[in-house]
Amino acid sequence: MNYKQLGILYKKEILDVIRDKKTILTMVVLPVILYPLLFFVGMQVATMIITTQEEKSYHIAYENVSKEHRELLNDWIAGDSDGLIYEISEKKTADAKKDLENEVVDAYLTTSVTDSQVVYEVHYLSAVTDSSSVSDMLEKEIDALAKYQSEQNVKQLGLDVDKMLYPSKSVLTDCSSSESSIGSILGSIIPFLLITSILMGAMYPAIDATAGEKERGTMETLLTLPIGSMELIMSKFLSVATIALVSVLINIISMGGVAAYMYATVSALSDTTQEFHLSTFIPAILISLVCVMTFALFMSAIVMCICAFAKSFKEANNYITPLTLVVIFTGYIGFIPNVELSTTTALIPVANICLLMKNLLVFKYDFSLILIVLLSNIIYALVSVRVLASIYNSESVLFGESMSGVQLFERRQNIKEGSVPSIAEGLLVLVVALLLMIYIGGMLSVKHPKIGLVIPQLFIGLLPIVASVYIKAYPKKIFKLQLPGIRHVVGGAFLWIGVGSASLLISALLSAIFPGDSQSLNDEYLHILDGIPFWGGLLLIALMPAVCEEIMFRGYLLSACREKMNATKTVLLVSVLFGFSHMSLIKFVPTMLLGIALAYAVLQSESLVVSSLMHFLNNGFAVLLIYYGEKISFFSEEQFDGMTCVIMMVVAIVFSTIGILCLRTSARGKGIQ
Amino acid sequence: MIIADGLAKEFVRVKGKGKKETFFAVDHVDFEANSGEILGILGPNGAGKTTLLRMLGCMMQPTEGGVRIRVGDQELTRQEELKKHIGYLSENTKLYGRFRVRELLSLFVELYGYDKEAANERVEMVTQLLQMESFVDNRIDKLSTGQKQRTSIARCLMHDPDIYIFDEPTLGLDIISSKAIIDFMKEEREKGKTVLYSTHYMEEAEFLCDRIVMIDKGRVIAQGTPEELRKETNTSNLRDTFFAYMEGGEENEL
Repeated sequence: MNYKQLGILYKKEILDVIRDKKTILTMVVLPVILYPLLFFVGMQVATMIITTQEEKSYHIAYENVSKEHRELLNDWIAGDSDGLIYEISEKKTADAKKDLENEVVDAYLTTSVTDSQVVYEVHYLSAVTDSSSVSDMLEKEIDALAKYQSEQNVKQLGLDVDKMLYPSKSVLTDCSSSESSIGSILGSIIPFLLITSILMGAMYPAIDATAGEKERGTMETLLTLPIGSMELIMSKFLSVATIALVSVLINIISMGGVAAYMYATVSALSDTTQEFHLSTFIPAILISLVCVMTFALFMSAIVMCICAFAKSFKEANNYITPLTLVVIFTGYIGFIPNVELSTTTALIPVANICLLMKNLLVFKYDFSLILIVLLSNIIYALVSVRVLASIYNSESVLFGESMSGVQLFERRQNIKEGSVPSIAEGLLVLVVALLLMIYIGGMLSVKHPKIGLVIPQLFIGLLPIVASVYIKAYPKKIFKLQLPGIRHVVGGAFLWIGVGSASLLISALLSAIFPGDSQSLNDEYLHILDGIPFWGGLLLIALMPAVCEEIMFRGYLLSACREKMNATKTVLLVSVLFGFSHMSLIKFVPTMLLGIALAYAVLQSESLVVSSLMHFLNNGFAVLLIYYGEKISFFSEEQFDGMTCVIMMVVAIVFSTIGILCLRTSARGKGIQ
Repeated sequence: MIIADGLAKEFVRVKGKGKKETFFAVDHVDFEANSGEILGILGPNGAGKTTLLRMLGCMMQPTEGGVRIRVGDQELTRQEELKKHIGYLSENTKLYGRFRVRELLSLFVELYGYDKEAANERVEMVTQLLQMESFVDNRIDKLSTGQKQRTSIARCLMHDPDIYIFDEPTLGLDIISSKAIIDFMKEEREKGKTVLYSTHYMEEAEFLCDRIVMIDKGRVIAQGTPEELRKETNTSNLRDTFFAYMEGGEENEL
């Protein structure tokens, strides 16, 4: 690396971006104005709501209520000193019910009187805001009246009020420090705002330095210079990262300013001098800052990777939209109550930063998790810089035609009949489905674990269908909707037995290495399937995935990849994504292996029925083991002995070979016909 | 002098279903351009001129073959060394509009390895030479087309290269602006520099170039002085000469 050249190029990139008015606008003006504006608008709205409530006066009527009871309640409402500021006045009416319907009065009361009690019945309209709020007020007033009356009655009898009426009482004391309660409020909002501001901060300079440079025709000028591609990329990357970081700092300062102002106003208004030490936040802020910085590097590289393929600003904006959606959507994870930072979530980009900051702000320092988040972000950043470098070494990217974008963001009338989804589009649909799965499935699984199993599968199945309908794809072509030949089915079944026993072996090996993880996985299934009959389990765990996951992976994604890639790369990419989307370290290798077999079968047979069948066999077998595993002696043993391993290995090799041969020869036979 | 040694560039076309097809955009081209001469590269649009010149300018890697430069008695082949001796100008080498002329020129010359002081001297010299003093401190996006053209020329001669590569530099320019470039090429030839000049304006090439390389579909179809080529095809102007060679080539193919 020539550092002198790098320095000059870096200076050039920074100058070039900074001299653009739009950069200054997104980097400085927006955050400086945005947060105070948001704050003051919020305050205004809040005051407006309070004042309208305060100034409101409500009208009520009585129907067939004796003068005594009417005056009692009226006097109580007028003369109470309970701090309620609204005004409720009586209105005389001829027909109370009709007046309520015409909203002349907000509520009317009737009474039924017994020897010991007067029951005030409040008639109101729940659909009308004023009416429903006055009914709440009346309920409180009448309760308060009843409490007052009962206390008076007890006193008249000469008894102890507390002993008679309130022998027990509850008092709530919040023991959390004021720092951590403030932290928990900020914990969901701040990460979200920071992530959005990093994205916005990186986006504009990234587009400018990549697509913008191509659009203005200066890319080729730059390439005439005797500079290495590494200096070129690093200077661009560093300048984008610098601007992203500066914009984050400006955001933090602006946010901090508003927070300080808010704190000052609140503490000036309230009499209680709460102890609040800003210094307690310093370690949290420092760790967050380091993580946010690595995240900004990662984000800059990712955004540049995508923009590098675009030839113009407009095109780059089009490419970047899916990323923006995914990042913002993932950043929302902090608002979801039962998603916590764990070894799994610490690996999910964007989500890990949000959850970590949420933890840090309530002073949860789990250093192994902090390390995972930090390291994973550094690795993501390095990988994306590496990808960026290879993109910039590619002449087809520098000089060539632009790639096909995401049609989902185009108007439907502009899309050609019979389009095929692009790889980017395939990935976008998968990521959105997975996010929906995590969010909605996660929320549901707490209360309704069974529904929590069905709904995510539906997303996986429905989203690709919706997306392919939108781009006017031919469903028969995309989803390979045709009946297979008998040899394909037989070949598929053989291949599954082979691959199935191989992955069973690998699973056994993995669960020996990670016993805890696999046990918790089993428990999870047992818990979900608790109380469901065998056929129900078969439906939930075997049939649904066999249909939905096949539509997504071997249908939609496979078609998207196959358009641009050769068969081997397609099978590998789709299978890695399949393995990855099961979001478990233990499951990754076996599911990827299964994915390879399924994808191969579909490519050979041109029919999704074959892979659905194999998938159903595979998951059905697992369900069988869960229900009847203990009754089948072969599988009830915890560990496989050496002999079993050898047998399974032989089975794996023999059956896979037969399966592959079946699928292949039949394909050749078709070719001859 | 600059030498193209069997330069070839293969591109890949995707035909759908992952099937790919390769073709040669530049098909094993050999020629040399000597010091003190203007060598014209002639061909219709899509003949492969730009790809050829990008390889000569070391901006694109050839699939086969290579580029050599002879300066004095030393021969250079390393790409970054080569770039230091080449001034490249095309309709695609635009300027950074947000920079002032002086900033841009000193930035570029520094990237060629000049230190600050030497860079400033060089900028002064070149701006005087091209009579750019009146706008040297203006932002480039505020310049007129003619001023931009002069700045582009200044940009490509800042590092005092021995070889100039001009890829259709007069495309879309008015007479005055294109005259500036043509005069510049003539002057540099007088100084003993090598000039490679690609165009599809046959008339312009005819009176300007010392020698001509005609290419079509990536291949060299003829090479020589304008006079030689006219004689060989028995034509009176270069336009007819070109057609004669193209037809000849097609007949041969048939």
